[in-house]
Amino acid sequence: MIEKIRKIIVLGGGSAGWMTAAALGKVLKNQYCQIQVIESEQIGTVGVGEATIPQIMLYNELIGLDENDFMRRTQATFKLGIQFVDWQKQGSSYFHAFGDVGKNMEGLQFYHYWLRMRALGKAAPLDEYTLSSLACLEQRFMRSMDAGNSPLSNIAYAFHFDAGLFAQYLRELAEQWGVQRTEGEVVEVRQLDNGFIRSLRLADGTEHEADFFIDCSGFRGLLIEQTLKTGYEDWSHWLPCDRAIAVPSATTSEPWPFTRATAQRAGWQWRIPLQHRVGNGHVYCSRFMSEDEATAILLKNLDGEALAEPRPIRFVTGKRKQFWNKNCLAVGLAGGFMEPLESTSLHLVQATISKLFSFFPDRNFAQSDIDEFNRQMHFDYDKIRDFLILHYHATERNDSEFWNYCRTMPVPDELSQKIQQFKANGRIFRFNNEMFSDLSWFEVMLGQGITPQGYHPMADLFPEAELAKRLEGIRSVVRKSVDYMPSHQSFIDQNCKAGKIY
Amino acid sequence: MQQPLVFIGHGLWLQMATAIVAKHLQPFGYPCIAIELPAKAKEPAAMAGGPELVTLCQMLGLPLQLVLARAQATFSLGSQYQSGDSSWFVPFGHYGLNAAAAEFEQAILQLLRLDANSKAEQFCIAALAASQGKFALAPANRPDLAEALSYGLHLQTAEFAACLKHYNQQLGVTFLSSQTVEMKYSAEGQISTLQLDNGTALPVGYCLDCRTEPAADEASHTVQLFCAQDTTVLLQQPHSSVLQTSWGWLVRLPLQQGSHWFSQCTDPTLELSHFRQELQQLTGLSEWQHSTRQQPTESQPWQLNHLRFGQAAATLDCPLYNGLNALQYLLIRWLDLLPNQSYCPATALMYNQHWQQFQSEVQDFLWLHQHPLATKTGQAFARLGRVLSTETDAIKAGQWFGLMQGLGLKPELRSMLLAHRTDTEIHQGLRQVQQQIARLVTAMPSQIDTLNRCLQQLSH
Repeated sequence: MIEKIRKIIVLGGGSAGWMTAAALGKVLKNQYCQIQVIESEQIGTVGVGEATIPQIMLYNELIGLDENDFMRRTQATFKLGIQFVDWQKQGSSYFHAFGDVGKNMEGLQFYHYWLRMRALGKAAPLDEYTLSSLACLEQRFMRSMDAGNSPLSNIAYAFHFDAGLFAQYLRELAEQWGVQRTEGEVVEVRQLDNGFIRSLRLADGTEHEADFFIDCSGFRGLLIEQTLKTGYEDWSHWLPCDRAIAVPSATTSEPWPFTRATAQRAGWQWRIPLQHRVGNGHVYCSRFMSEDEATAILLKNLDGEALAEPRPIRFVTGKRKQFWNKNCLAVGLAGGFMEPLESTSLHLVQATISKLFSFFPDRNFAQSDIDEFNRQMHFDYDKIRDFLILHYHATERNDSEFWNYCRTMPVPDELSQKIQQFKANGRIFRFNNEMFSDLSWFEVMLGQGITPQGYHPMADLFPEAELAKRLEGIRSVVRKSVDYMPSHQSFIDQNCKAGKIY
Repeated sequence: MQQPLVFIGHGLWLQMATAIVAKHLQPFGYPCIAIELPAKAKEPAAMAGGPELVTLCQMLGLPLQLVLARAQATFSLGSQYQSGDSSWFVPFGHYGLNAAAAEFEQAILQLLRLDANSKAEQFCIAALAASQGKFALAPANRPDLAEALSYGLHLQTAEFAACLKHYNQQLGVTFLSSQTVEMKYSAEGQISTLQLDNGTALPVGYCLDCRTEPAADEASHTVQLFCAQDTTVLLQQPHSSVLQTSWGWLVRLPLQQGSHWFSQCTDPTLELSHFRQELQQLTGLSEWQHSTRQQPTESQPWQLNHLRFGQAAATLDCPLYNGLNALQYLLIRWLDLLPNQSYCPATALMYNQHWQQFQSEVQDFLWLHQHPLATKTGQAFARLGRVLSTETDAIKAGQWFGLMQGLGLKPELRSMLLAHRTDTEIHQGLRQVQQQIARLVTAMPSQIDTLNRCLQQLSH
């Protein structure tokens, strides 16, 4: 017997809350069930999830977002990848670029051919075969166009945006689609005898019942943790950073189409260019650095004048033991946190929403569905975790206690195996549903200084001269394609320029 | 010169493994030696391979026409199931016209819920073509159709093995025969040499072991096998047939000149007379061959330089799933990782983990046939109408969906992503797809015409 969900409450109105509410509103159109967001203006949002990865397009498509309008409304810029500075060692730099690297030949990934020629000292730097990397370096951008086999036909990109404006934009859309917003702070969570959540009582005395609760209350996990005591798996031994200081700064140059992550003595600093400002932050480990020192490093490394007081953020890297427990689903920071190094926070929000639609419950809340949902979420989190740990662990830095710890710490077995295998044979082994592709693994492992001793034997099938010619051809096509691209700034000016705020 | 790759085993599995590996590695200077051992049990006379087999033939450069001619092969778009009064089709290809169409299967399930006369097969080009005896190779300019019309082959096992042996000989593989083979190990536990019954000691780089017989001390269970040959020619059926019996399933594989029946029972308490009686009732055939075998277990097929691929593939081999498909997976995956060529324990470890995942997905698929609601996959489908995401490509999405809806699993819950569409909108959308599929199938040739054309091409 189906017992339809009659009402869903989304608790918390940051990026996660409004992404969830907008998706539910768009899909369910308030006809299937009532959707209510409860948020309090007294409780701030973390609001630093400002960079995304190309999978965000799936969410945008789901809610039918007009991309240029969204760009204008959120002061967004385009993103073609992430530049990692000083990670392998001080003075080093590499791109983890979106999209293709070179061109696969004879069913074999390009990078095997490149490794072969590099071993012979006859390959140009990888960036010169990678459209996104080269475009980042030259600050160019365009969307894909119909250009046959040209790399211009397949440009993968994402966005940098102001998370506060993004939430506001989604709120407007969600309310148009019938989502109700209630201002108020939760003072009591009432449960049924079986432990399921029955209602939320707000400070104004009103009580709000629902069948299904989506906890977007951030790190504290008001429903999933404080009420349901779900438990948290702490990963700080692998991802030891536990603090961040965030501050916006004035724009001093045209925006770059990439995020920059610069390694610091006990963590790293992000720089995210938006149209109206630059988002900055310093993620660090409090065991190895004080807040004052972290703030000083951040402020010293700003390109422009700080536009607000630095804001401290505390967190513990890890994940909930269950993302969905009884009639409560944790989305965003309430579900787990893995720091913004690869811009995966909003992706995980979107992945949770997508799985929610696949496993959409009725009031019986079948435990087998919930178990499978949790299994899939754990898989996503664990694979992303390993990819993040790679950045810290595979380093030559020995200039601080923090890096000595990261370099020598034990890592999860699967990551250790991946690294060993790459070192031995230049191969990357992954399951179908892992989020990061073999190209991502390749770029980061190589960028972090892991040098493979071999490559796929099939790369030897081309005679050296023939392969050199082909690689040169690919390099030349990438060069010409990048030359064709307009500057990032002029593309924004022509398509999605936002109004001035500051 | 690289260390030799030595293959041991017999029949089709040995030839297949040798062909795949020799084709790919001989150019790198690996000498390939195949040691043919006597078969302890007779190989089944016929087999069914999925789309991977066709891809493999292309990869080897074996012309399809040649395989069709030599191995008396026919095409297979999937399997037609029959259980009591109900029947359904499990295709290799996908439902609808676009594999990536969001929620298409959900729309089908929604229609089935409202309209008892509708069938999922109406929205599957492979199923519709199979029901009309039609088969065509998708044109090169229609990659979308190639996926929808993914096909496998039914083959005579011995003839296909002979074809592959000839291929291997042309590649320069050395063939040796021996009654026995004894492995000698190095101090590190690697196989250093293989000793044949004539005293020859062969040095080994990698030993690709295609034997299927489990050792006596291994956890294995006994299965009873039945097979029979039928002279009825079924060229109007470009598919396998699967009938439900009181103990499991009976599979029929049509070849160009007759067909072959196979069944397997894992219940040792059932009496032979019971089987024979029911098999005769179902097929009209009285001549059934019976044998028993041990179903092995193998979760760590890559151990140092010993690759126990035959043993691993045999864990899944049964009338509903040919172990050759698993053997192919093991080989291709190994080639993809192979080693340049220093042994990396992490690689072997990850390889074995992937194999366990593959094995578990196939076992789940097989288990669904017996107890659909005892599997997580079946439970999720019965609740949500969704196929759980898989980590390997062992079973195609169309196969999961086709089997579970055919077994009568009806989802309790509707797709939320279709919640904003009315039933009328969904019906209209589906009917349009149905009409397009019907038009495409009408224009397709029969399997007989396609087979004749292929065989004529060979004779020219």
